[in-house]
Amino acid sequence: MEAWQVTTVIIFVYCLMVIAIGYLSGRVLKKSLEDFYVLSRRAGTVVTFLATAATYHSAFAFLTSVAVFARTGVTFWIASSAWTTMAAVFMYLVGTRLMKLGRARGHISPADGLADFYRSELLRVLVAVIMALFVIAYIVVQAVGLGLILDIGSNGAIPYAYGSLILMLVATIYMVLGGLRAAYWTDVLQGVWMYLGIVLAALLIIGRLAPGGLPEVMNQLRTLRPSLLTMQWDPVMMLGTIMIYGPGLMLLPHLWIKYYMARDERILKASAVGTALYLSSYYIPAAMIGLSAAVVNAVGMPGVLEKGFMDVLRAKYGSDDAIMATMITTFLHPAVAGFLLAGAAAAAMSTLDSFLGSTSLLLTRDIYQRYVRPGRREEEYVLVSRLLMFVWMLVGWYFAILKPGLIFDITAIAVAGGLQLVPMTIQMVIPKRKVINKHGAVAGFVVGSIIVTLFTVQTGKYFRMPVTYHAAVAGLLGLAINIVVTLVVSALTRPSQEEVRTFEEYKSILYS
Amino acid sequence: MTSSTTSYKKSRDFLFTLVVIIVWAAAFGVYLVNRPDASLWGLSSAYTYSLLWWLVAVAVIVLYAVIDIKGG
Repeated sequence: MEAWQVTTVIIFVYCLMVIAIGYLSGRVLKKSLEDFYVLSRRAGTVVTFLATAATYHSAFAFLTSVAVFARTGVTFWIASSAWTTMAAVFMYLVGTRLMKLGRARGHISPADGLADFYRSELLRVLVAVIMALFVIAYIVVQAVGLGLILDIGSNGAIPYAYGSLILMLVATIYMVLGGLRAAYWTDVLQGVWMYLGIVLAALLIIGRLAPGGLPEVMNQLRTLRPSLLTMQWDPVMMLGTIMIYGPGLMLLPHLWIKYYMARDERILKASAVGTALYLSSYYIPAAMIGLSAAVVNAVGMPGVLEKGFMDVLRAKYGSDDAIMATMITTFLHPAVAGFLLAGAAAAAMSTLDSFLGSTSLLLTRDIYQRYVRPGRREEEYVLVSRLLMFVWMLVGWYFAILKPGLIFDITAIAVAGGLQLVPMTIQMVIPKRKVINKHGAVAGFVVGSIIVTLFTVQTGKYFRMPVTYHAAVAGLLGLAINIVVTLVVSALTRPSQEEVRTFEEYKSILYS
Repeated sequence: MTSSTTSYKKSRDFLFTLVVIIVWAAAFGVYLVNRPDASLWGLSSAYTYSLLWWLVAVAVIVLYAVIDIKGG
């Protein structure tokens, strides 16, 4: 058996395992939307913690973090340590309040909660549709990551486009079989696998390239590329990334619904602490691999990897995201490479499945069930959810085969969109004094989302706008204008009596 | 839950939010030591600062959670 065959077989064994888990979880499914999506609100600490952590970390964490470490050095650690811990703080403070409200009012989606609080069906449709569109960017990057994993793991025998389709189908199949229950069950396996994978990869690669560990790599870089040992982003970019990957990401539907699955508040709080440790520490081994790649790229290893190999990979795959998979297949035994690339696939799939599930939830629960065919049997809605998962999977795959660029840049678009939910959500979880009403919430959210779209490089070019240099900055700009518009419109308009009454009910849920 | 307990919890949450803002603002202190020269264990000054900052941030989260969850 050739090396690439060993690696590929192990990846496929992993795929069979997750499909089996999907099938088993489907057998205990109760055929109701609440069970299909939020485990009937009965998840314990381990499932809540690992489902949240594994969903948060995706192909982004396994592939693009190493790529950004290799290109910008410790910059990525400096910013990511701040945004991962901020995400956990947001989960702790805001997530627990959303959980309480969801339990008391029966919410199972973000649009559910916001439409209920502001008594606005327009807001329900806008949140469902705009979020479903923004998360396409996130589905695309998982498709990109999965394509790279199988292409590089199979040494090109399974090309990028087919690799992406095959692994996306695997995730979609287990989701169709078991709903988000399958995602939660597989997340537990995937969360452990991807963490062990990155730690093992770092130890083995550093052991091979720099037995002196990180200090040795640092000393080499101090001679070769000293700029990689400093923060290269300006403070605006750093603030932007903390905001979009902190609150912005934690408000996207796939993570928002995690707050509803926990059995009680203590479980969610304990999960938030675990999430802080898991998410942030994950980037320590990723830094080791990325910085080692930067050293190899600068000096080369004759007969193994040529000097400047990162530019060759960028030319071939359209971004730097192939660096991690290349380091693994180049320096490690094929069986170990298979295990680690399966870990990379776990990272991508554990996020992809939640996105497919939460997007189909938004469109089924908030659009189809309310406006297309209301009052039908639950089985019909579950069937529609399953069909929508396939549709969104194919949309994501289509954009992925266009090789849209660095995963880090593409994900930023989706999370910059998620950040636009912050003002109206903060009012919902802190109902002390009503300063935002439905008119302000709708206006601010729409304007913020439009600003993000117009001023982000990848989307703004179609409108011939003077774009910002990164979606993180566009997200920050969108949030600033969003807040102003929200407050001004709310000050100029009056909430309905029904909205004021609901506000008081929320106040009593959270403060009594 | 009594009103005094609710009030205590609210002020505790407020204090935590204040500490979070201060600590996360301190993350930007990295720009004051943004140099590649070796400090602890040969790591650069910028990297060492952010590692120490991260330890403080995690300690703040864990400490607050212990107080909050045990305190009810």
